Amino acid sequence: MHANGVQALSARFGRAIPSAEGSRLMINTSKVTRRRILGGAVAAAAFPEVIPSGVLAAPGRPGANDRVVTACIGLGGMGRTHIDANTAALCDVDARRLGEAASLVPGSTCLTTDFRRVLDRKEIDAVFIAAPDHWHALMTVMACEAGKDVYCEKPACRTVREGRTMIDTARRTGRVVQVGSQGRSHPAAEAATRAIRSGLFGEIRRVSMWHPNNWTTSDPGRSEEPPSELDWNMWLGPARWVDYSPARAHFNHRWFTDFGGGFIRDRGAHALSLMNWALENDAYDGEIEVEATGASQPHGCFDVPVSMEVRWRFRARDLTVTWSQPGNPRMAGEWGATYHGDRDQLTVLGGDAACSTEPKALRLGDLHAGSATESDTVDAGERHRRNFLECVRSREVPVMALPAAVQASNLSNIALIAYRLGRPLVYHAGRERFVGDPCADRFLDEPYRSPWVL
Amino acid sequence: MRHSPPQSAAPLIASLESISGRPEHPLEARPLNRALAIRDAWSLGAEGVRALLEIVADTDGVADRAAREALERIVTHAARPGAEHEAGAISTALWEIARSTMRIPARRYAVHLLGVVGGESHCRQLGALLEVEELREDVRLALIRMPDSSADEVLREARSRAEGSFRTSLDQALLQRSRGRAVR
Repeated sequence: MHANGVQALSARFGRAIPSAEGSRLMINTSKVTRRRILGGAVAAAAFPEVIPSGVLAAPGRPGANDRVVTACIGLGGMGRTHIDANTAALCDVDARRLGEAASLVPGSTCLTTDFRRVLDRKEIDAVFIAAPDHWHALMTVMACEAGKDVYCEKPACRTVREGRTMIDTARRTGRVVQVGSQGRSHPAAEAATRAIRSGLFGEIRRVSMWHPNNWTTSDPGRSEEPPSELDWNMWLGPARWVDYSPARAHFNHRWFTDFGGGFIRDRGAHALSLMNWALENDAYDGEIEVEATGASQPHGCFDVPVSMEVRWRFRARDLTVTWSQPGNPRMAGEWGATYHGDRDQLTVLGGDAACSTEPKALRLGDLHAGSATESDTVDAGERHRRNFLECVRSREVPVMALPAAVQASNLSNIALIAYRLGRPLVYHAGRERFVGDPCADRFLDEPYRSPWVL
Repeated sequence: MRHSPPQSAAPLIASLESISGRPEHPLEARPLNRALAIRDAWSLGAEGVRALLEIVADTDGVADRAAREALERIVTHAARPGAEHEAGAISTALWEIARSTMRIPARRYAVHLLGVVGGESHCRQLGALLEVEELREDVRLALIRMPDSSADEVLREARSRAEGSFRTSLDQALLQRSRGRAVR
């Protein structure tokens, strides 16, 4: 029933995604087991091999061997990849999409255009959230409050306050939350992470990321009556009101600051997540200098910049990270990152469910020893899902835990603020505010349109 | 050859033409050039606020977006550290539009921008616009964003007079502000 994650993502972006086939120099480490890549507590926490015997079923907490009853909220490209035999409810504000997705579910299921009806259902243990980005925080928080575990597609949040509220709510309610940065479930990313952490390339003081430009359009986005099957008010949710235009809805939400934020918040969430992982930067709490420039859209209604140049400097650890659109692609990869060490450098292509890296990253691991386990043969998107469902049963912390996902998203968020303000900023990650720029602080939060409140 | 600009853009065009040494964008009706000219008008600062707001919600969606971008740039530039006088001048220009009889989309955007740059005195001024039904949701959102404690007072005062769902909205605004402060 599951769509292949790679194919799904290719279809989503209408182009090939980076893979081992993209370059003869790159190796997709599909035979590498997670146990051999990451040892110690991190791996144990992420992938418990033995489910504690004390884990018993309770309301809102399935037992170790229980079926996890799920619901899918948002049924576009990614949302449909989460539908399976355990899906008990489907939700989308577009009744046409809802109907199409319903045909993928075996047996009867609850169909609704209002996600609150999903959260009301006691039999649902966990929800997959694949609504547009401006809904991620609110839906996650409301789902946690309703006693549901959450798998939320990236980016985790659009604002610093959204991220903080998500983390606090998940902790307070004791819910398991996984964010869909599937790179952390990809063997190639694990191999790169292990090689970088081992010091194979020396100390990494610079990471350069590249990605194609954001999309453009000639569509001026003239206001139209929304189609009868679409609840546009609900699609907008907490975002500022704007009239419906097909150029704004669904996939195109990415190209608007109020809903998405361009590729830096989209695939940037993957690339920055891997960078934080490889460099053990998930908990960085010092000051970050951030500078962002770009070129405005020449025509059409999209409002994210076409191109972007971003530089973050992590003052407390002498690390500079850059994001360039379009930048200089390496090794025939559409997007990726190069880690510059003082002895050598390493390139990692992609960073979502499709990821590959250079053979030299694999020196530390014996790729061909032993036999691949079943989990090694499935794609990273599916491994990521399974990790979440295992954690729902075990109550362990998933591989893409919410604080790490928020940390990655906030790098995008502060870059977009620096771009909007047109000046370099200093952000204090520990204090979650800017240094000496009260106007920038006003963008740490986005007011929610009534009746929504976070 | 120069074409006549649409009526709504005329004040801006006049403003642009009044500035010497800006020959780089022929002021013609071709959308791309027109958008570039409008976007460049951010450098007019407070002087360009009214003209740019005239273009907001123009039937030419590209011009509308260019005007919004220029206005946001004016506002965020003026709100930089150490430029309080400039921020005050911009806020005053925005307030003049917000309380005017200009078209509602322009007034709504002026209110939104006041949420980015406005100070304590503007919280109180905006409070008066909570009575204007077409603007009150934008005013509420702007007040949520403004850091001054007077925004809380304005929202509480309005709540005491409000009824029905808008009263609930004002409660939510106060709640969102209190939660936001916990982060800040």
